[in-house]
Amino acid sequence: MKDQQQIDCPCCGQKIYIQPQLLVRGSSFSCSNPRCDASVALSHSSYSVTNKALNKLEKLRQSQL
Amino acid sequence: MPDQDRALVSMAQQFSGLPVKSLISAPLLAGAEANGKMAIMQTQFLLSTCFNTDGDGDSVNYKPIMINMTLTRSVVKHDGSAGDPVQTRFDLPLLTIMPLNSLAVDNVDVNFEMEVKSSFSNDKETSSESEKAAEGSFSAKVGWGCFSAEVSGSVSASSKNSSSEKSHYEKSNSAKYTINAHAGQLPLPEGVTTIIQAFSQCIAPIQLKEPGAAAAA
Repeated sequence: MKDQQQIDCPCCGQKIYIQPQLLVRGSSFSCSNPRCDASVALSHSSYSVTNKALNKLEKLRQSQL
Repeated sequence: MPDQDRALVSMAQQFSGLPVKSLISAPLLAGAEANGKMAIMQTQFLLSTCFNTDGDGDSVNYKPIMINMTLTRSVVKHDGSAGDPVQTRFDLPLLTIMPLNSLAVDNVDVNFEMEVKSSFSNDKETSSESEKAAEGSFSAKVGWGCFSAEVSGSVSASSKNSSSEKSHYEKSNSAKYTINAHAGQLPLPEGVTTIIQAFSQCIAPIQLKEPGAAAAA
């Protein structure tokens, strides 16, 4: 799954492109604005719920295909 | 049936009994049905995984499940040197990071190929061979005084006939029915995109104004 999601940067409002599968592995993603050095990462407390949701979605996709 | 009366297969007649409507519509209906099931499953997934529910029956309130994110920003001190990065924690709806592209059957190809072959050939080969041979011989001898007579004859005849006829008739049918269905990801519906945008915009920090600023304005 290489889906890319995007959220608005809380600092400058530009897009931050994230890959959920990498997010649950501890990766951080930087803002697309070169002047903004903000980066976001998933907090450890949310690893479990996010990982569980992604696995469930992947199973759903497999069942549909 | 005599070969001369054997007509070629009527093409229109061969195609007239085909259920063309069913052949074309059945795969499309199946694709639409599959799309409907997939949409229902994704909606159920969305509601069960990304939302918590309050209430029962018709008054169910769906509350988005929030995940905690850490925002890291660099700090530059007043003298130009790098300071320790500042980390800010904020909550984000789980829905906004889920790759919820709509999975659907986006292409259905129906190929129907039918071939009706009919051929007729008649090779007729007639050969007649007649051979006749005749051979005759005759001799006569006559004497008198003392009667003497001698008659001799010979006849030979031969006849030969041959005939051949070839006939060839060929008929073949072949049909090929191919359905190609491809499932791909479609863009999210506008409504879902708007909801996600609204959620993601909520992560922007709220700037509090000074208590007297509103009154002065």
